[in-house]
Order: sequence, then C-alpha cells, then structure tokens
Amino acid sequence: MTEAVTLKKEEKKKRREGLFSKRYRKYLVDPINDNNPITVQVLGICSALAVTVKLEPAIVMALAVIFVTAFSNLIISFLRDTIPFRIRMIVQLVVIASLVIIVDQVLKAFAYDVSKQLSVFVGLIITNCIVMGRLEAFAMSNSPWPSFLDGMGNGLGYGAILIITGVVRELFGSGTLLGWQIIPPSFYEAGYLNFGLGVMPPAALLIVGTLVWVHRAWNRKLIGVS
Amino acid sequence: MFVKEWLMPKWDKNSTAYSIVYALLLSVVFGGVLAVVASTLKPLQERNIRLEKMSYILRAARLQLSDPHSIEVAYRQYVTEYVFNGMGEELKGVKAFDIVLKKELTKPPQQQRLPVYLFHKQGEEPLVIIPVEGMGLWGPIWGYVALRSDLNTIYGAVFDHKSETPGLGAEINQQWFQERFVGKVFARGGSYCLRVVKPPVFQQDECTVDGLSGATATTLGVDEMLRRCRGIYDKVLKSVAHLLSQSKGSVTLVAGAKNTNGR
Repeated sequence: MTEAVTLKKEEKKKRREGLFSKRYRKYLVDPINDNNPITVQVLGICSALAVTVKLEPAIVMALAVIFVTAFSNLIISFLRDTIPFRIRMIVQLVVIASLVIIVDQVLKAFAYDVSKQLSVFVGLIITNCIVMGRLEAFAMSNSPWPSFLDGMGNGLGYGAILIITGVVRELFGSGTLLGWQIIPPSFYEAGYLNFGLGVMPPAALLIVGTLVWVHRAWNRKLIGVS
Repeated sequence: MFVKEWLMPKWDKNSTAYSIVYALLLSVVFGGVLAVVASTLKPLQERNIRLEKMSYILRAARLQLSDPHSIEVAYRQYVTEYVFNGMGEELKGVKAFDIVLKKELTKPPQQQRLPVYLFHKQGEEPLVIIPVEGMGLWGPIWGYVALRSDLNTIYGAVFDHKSETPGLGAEINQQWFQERFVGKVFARGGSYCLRVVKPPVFQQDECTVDGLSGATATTLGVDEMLRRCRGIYDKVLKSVAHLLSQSKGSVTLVAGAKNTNGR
C-alpha cells in the first residue's frame, strides 16, 4: 500500500509541468492551424454559415463557442472518472446545455442587440459538433488543464474561420465592417452594387469551402490528410 | 481526480443505482446554478426589453438614441401614455407600456385596451404614435407608427420582426425601409388607401410605399398589419382627434390625464 503511494508521489513530481509548457501550448495552438475544427476536422459548419452575415455576430458567436468548449472540457475533465459509462453523453449534454444557457442569459442581459441578431444560434451551440466532439475525444481521457487548453484552442480555431468568413461576407455583401461603411459612396455612384449573394447562406458555403481548400494547400502538413 | 479516490471503492459507478443518483445530483446542481444565474440577470434583461420598446417609440418620432440613459430621459420627457378601448373610450389607471397588443386584439372591442403614445417636444407639433402588429413570413412582425396632428400623415415608422429571412424580410427593421413611410398617408378622401406594394412600383404617390424586393410575404404582411391595425384604432383616433382639437396645442390630451410610464 505504502509503495503504491510513494510511486504515485514520484509520478506526480515528474509530471508537474509548467502551466504553459511546450506540450500544453501545443494543445492550445494546434486546433487553430494544424487541426482546425472547421477546415481540418470539418465540424461545426452549420453555425458558421448562419451567423457570418455580419462580422459582429460572428465575433460574439466565436467568443461564446470558445467559452462553452473550454469550460465544458474543463468540467467534464474534472468529472471524467465519476461519470457512469451508460449515461455519459447525457451528462455531457447537461454540462454543455447549462453553459450555453448561461451564455444566452448573459448576452440578453449585457448585449441585448447582439443577442437578438444571434437569436436561436446561441442555443444551437449545444448541437455544435465541435463541443461534444472535443469532450469525447479529449476531455473524457485527459486532465483538466490540458482539456481546458484544448477546448480553448478549438474554440479559437473555429473563431478564426468565423471571423474570416464574416469579414468577407459583410464587406462584399453589405459594403460595411462592424457597421462602418468601408466601400466608399463613390463606388456605388459609379455603378458598384453589393454582392447580394454575400448575405445569403450559400455564400458562406462557398467561402468556407474555399478556406478548406486554401488552408490545406498552404499548410504543408495537411496535404494528404483526409 | 480526488473525487474518485474516496468515492469509487465504495460504489460501482456503472451500477444502475449509482447512475440514477448521479443523474439526479447532476440535474439538481446544474439546475440550481442556472436558476441562480437566470434570476440574478432577470432585472437587467427586463430593463433591456423596456429600453428597446422605448427606443422604438422614440424612433417612430424620428428621434434616434442609443444609450440607455438618454433613451429613458427622452421618453420620460416627451412621451405621454394613454389607453383607449376599441370603442374609443379612454381608460384611466391602465399602464399603456405593459399592454401586449396581440392579446388585446383577441378580445371584443369593448374590452380591448389599446395604447396611444403622445410624443410632444416643446415647440414642435405633437405626434400620435400607435403600435401595430401582424404576421410576416416566418413569425410575428410589429412596429410603431407616428402620425402628425392630422392623424393621417405618417411622420415616422419603426418595424421589427422575430424571424424573418436575413437580408430579405428582416430588412423591415432597417432605417432605409422605414424611411419610405415618411410623408405617406393612411387615407385619402376619407377612405383607406395606404398600400405597401411589391416592386416594381409604377405609381408614386402618398398612398404607395415600395415593398421589399424578394420579400413578398413580409411586404404583404406589413401591408396587412397597417391596414388592420389602422382599422382597429379607427374609433380611438377619432377620440384622439376630438381631444386634440379641444386642447388646441397644449401638451396633455385630456385634463388630468395620468402619465403612466412608471416615474
């Protein structure tokens, strides 16, 4: 008995890494580039189409997903050894749903206009495959801090794609960015028209598809990855 | 983690009993947390909803404000609330702001409580603002129409929706659409004439408003909403006209009318 305890103590000493050791930084940074949830893992596409008509909702949505993924990873990781196998998905859903409801309530209280723009899409974060995907793939079998970093990293990767798509769609679909008129009136007078397709979902499909292609071509490590 | 060390040896985590207790405990804990969050934030949320309604009424009077404090100050300063029933009789002691128009319209006219908001800035003509509500393509649409003292010419209008198509029907809440209603009239020669028409519009007069291209259902919804609600408010506006002519330029419609916007 005492031998097992001393062995554990030594293991713990060895494993005491810095909070931002190289290995941990990888959890945070990988999902932004090499393992991007949208362009590489191809998860969470749906909301990427809906909320990117303008940039502001895209940013808020990205922040919401970062929060939910990071903290659900953290909570589930703490609970991972206590969750009965048969109800594990239900437990995950309860955690995700609770966090999403909190985000929704906070938005309604502190950013009412944005919450109206996002409407049902905040609630749909519960169904976002990225969140549950990371819980199953990572948080269920890793300790809290790395899980938190992984969740945060995946949220950031998702956010990056969302923001790029939002910029393109708002700029070309409405001529503005964050509400500020970017395309000068002189262009409109010369006959320039906003790309009507930009404010419709198919535009997001085309943009995200192009991003998948560009990302996988530019990042050498992704060539050949399915 | 530490939890497993003192809990696990005692109980098999894959047993049915454990699962049931675990699920119950999870529900109670997370339910509790959510209840606390929701009730703590509720006052802020309700304030936001009230502020939005106030800002819409002000925007119908073409007063655009965005920060909460100035919205509240302007509303208190310029807006007086009144309630009438469907027969045009004034109802005192009823808070206009909290009335849900849609519910009132299911009642017979005698029992309806219809709000009227009088907007009066010192030195300017008073505006009579009425709420309107209707159906868009996917869900409810609503708004506020500000009428000049002839109670026929539209000074300004504000619309909003719940779930119209972004970029199409949803554009009814944009200023460029709402501006189309400025200067239009409800009736000409005593009969209702206002139409919100699907483009292209060949007839440009004070009774015709360009609708939204590609958003026919929403456009027709707005048209129907205005027509129907104007009809419902018919007797009310007659009473308002009578009272306005009596007071001849003074602020209150009726002597002793209560400003019921919760000062």
